[in-house]
Amino acid sequence: MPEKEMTEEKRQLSRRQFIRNAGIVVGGTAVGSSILLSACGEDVTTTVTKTETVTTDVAKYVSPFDGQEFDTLAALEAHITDKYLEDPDVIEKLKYVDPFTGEEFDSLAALKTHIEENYIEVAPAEPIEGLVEMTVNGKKRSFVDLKPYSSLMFVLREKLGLFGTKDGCSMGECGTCTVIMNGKTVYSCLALAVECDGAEIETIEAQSDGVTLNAAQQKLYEQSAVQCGYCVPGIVMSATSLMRNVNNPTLNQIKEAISGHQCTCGNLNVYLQALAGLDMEVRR
Amino acid sequence: MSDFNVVGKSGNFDKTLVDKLIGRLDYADDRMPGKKLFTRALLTPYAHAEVVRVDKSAAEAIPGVKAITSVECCPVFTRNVRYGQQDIAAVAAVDPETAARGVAALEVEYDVKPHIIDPDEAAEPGADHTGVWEDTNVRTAEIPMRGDVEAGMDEADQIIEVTAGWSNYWQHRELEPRSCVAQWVGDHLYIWTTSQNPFGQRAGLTGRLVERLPDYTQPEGEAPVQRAMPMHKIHLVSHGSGSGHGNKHFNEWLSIASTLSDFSGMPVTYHLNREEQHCGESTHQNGGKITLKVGVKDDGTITALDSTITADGCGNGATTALGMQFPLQWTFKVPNAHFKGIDVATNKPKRGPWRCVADPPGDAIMSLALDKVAAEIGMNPLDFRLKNLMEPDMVQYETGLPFASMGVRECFEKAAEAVNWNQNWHAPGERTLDDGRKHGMGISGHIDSHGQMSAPCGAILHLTKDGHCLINPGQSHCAGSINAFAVIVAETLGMKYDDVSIGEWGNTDVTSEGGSEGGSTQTITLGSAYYEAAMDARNEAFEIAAEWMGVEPDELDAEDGVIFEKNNRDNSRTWQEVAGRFRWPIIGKGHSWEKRLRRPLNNWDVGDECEVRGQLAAAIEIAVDTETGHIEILKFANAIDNGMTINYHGFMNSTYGGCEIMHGQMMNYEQVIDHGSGLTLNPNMWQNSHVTSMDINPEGYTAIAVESDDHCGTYGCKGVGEPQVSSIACLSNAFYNATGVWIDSLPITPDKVLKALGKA
Ligand code: FES
Ligand code: FES
Repeated sequence: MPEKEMTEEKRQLSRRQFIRNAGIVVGGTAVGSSILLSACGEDVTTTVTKTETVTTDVAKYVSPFDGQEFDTLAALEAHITDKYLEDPDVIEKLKYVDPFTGEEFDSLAALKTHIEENYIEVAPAEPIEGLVEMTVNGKKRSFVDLKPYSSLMFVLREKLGLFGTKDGCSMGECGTCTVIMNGKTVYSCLALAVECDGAEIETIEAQSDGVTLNAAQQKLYEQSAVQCGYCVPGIVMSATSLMRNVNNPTLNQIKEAISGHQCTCGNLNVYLQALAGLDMEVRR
Repeated sequence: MSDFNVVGKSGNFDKTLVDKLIGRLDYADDRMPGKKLFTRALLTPYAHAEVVRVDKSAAEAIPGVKAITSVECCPVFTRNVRYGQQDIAAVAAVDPETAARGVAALEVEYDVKPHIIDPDEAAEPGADHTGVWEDTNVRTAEIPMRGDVEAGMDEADQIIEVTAGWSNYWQHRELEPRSCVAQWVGDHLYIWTTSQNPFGQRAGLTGRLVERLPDYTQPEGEAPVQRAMPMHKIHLVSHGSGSGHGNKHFNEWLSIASTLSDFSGMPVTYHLNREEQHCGESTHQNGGKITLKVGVKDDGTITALDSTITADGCGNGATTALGMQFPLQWTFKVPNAHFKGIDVATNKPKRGPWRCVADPPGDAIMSLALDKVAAEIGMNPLDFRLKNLMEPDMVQYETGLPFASMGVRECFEKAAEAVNWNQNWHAPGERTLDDGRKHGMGISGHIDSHGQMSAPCGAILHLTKDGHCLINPGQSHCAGSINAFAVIVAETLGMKYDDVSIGEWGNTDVTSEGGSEGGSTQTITLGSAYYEAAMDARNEAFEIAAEWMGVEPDELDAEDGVIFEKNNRDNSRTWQEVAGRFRWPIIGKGHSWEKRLRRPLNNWDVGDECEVRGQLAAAIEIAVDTETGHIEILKFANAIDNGMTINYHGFMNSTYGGCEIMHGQMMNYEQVIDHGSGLTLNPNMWQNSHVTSMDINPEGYTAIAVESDDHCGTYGCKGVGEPQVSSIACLSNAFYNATGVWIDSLPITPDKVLKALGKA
């Protein structure tokens, strides 16, 4: 293997990391809105970006002579030049393919012109130190400046402005900061944000559009089951997680589901009654 | 009451219900992502000391540290350390962790002095001085003797002396800690905070902060001009406010953040961590102990009593012992009585209001002592109380004023009924359940000092040209009284509840002064101002409607969104139709009422001064596992004399909530202080915890409204907050009923149970 390639290999990045890097390097657009094409497989050495098309397909340049795959056009060109003569008879029968669209070209030169006209091919970006990406409420969010000690709660609130997640104790004792991560409820104050790389996170903001409430919210709504409201977002997240997994949960199941929450207005019993559909009344 | 269309009806939901459910209601520091600095405070490692010097140089050198304030330059901090984990400096930095590093780098020199945590020890002659009051640790006060106690004792068949010991000491542990964001813009200060009294906080800040004088240069040789910060330059907003319960009246954390913002030139948030919240500047509920001598006849009639309460005034020297006598002083008809209070200063973190400073712990020891008296004379404790309760036509002994409503008897009766007291009560220790646990019944209750009118405040509202009403209460949205104002306004205007909206609130720039949401006073006080404001607007609107409808204004009435002629309901217009004729939006203004009768009562006339007092009782049924020490609450009924239910859901939730909070007080809450170091060992939420959902049997709780129709409050209402959580002695009493053994102090934890039963 040529030395140059070996050097590149040392800088191999996973595809997911690569996309993040490219999103920031190419055009400086935010990941999620930038449009990326990658002329690479799992191990990436070269980036091609095009700003009109969205794809995450793995694309390889293929040698029409022997079917070998290459990550870059330059690598393909080197391979062809090194191994094959441009024999017009042979070339007539073979096609060079745009790995992104499947469009065919008769010569390497034609493919090269096409690629240069339609794509911006960039050198692989250096991995950005400390880059963390997570999906929050369905949107990809990337961070390059997270402190190793910052909690997910801090990032949700102070970086993303998702203030529905509350900070009751910052130490895993009250449940106000509960979010759903990869399908499970977690105290976001106890999760280090850098460890949430790649995670799918749902916060209270994703549970309703302000018009339609989710099932747990609806149950609480029907009994006006709130007091000061500070614990409510956390309770809703735990109840939501339960109700996604269990149809018509019993009182005991609800008790267990919200057992990690404190409510200093004394409203836990009201939540239990409302979520279990028990009748509440004032005796007069 | 059926006469009302809106008042007390279910279905009138919290006006911010959806915002709360979807996480949209904004609390103090829910703003300015990425733009603000964060604060951590330095908490002293000593319970009694003088701060000699604070060296900031190492902290200042830490990258990311932006401002430091300490005893030298912050109006909150003092060199006099009087309790452990008292705050004496604070650091603002780019994130909370960097601020904490800054705090750790502050070097402080202390002159350490001896501390005392135990009030009994502090009260001993010759004890070390705690440094709280000059030259003494003890202060006493008395209420002038009522009648002749000695003569009253002579009338008695028995004289009984009992004591009851110290009850819990703990911080409120409110789920939203004290929190704020402060930002200076020029010489104006903007603050977003958690609050129970936005206007009170603003007033407090004017005394703590100095006005910025941008063009001022200090003349050489002259002292600098320092003026108190003018009110109009402080812009304070409080929307959502989490679980206040008394600790959010103050302004220390606002002053600290404001100072740090001043120094850094940036917005600064101070969102207290749990140790800052549990110690720092926060207030604590604290107990007391009672020595009670009672003269009693064979039928249970009390002829005289002599009561001394000793209270722990902590490191701020709160004097509350006499206030703790209130439940005993006001609840029973005892013609001969003497009440004395002894306050003892210790080196514990501050004592202050948690649902009052005095009544809940006062009830805790009084009700326990009364049960001991009932046990001595062999009487059912409920009957003993019913025998001696004040009657509705009596005046209060010391003030000579009538009660504008009196529901305490009904509270006891209804609470008892809800737990089947008459069937279930038994002699102490006599009933064992099938599963081997001991069964117990307990009751307690009193006339409370809360629920009445507080300082004057004002209300404004707008009738909009589309037939709605917009109210702008000068109060944050914590306990839900804002909804009560909407109910009162809707009832008064004859509008639908849903047509009354809350615009901006808790904003000192655009709302009228709303007073304090504390002391169970908001609904009755600001509620009365809203009644007046609604009447003001209604009168103007009725003039427009009357002209259109061809009648005089006083011939009109309104309900359910329709204005109609009283004698001809067919002659009617909707509020929307009438509002379409407004030439401009109508503004209603009102002020709160005085504490005077608004309807005649017994021999008293309208306008006579009166007493408005919340009243309460709670009854409990428990099962005690004598092997593990675990106590299960089987039934718990919380009966509150609210005068009249205004905000149905708010009252219901907070009365159920009262059961749950008392459950925590009775069995869990306790801040543990190491007597050796003087430091709090459990400044957190799990060792000093509220109950969890696993501890609760929600079907065992009962919320009861006793509607005694107060003759002062709007639509007969009075306040309920403190009364909803003030019957915690019922557990001690039930434990005695179950086992025949007294546990003198709350909380009653399994270890105390086993110790009391001789098993540990
Ligand atoms: S803030 Fe996370 S558990 Fe309390
Ligand atoms: S409703 Fe106030 S903390 Fe739960």
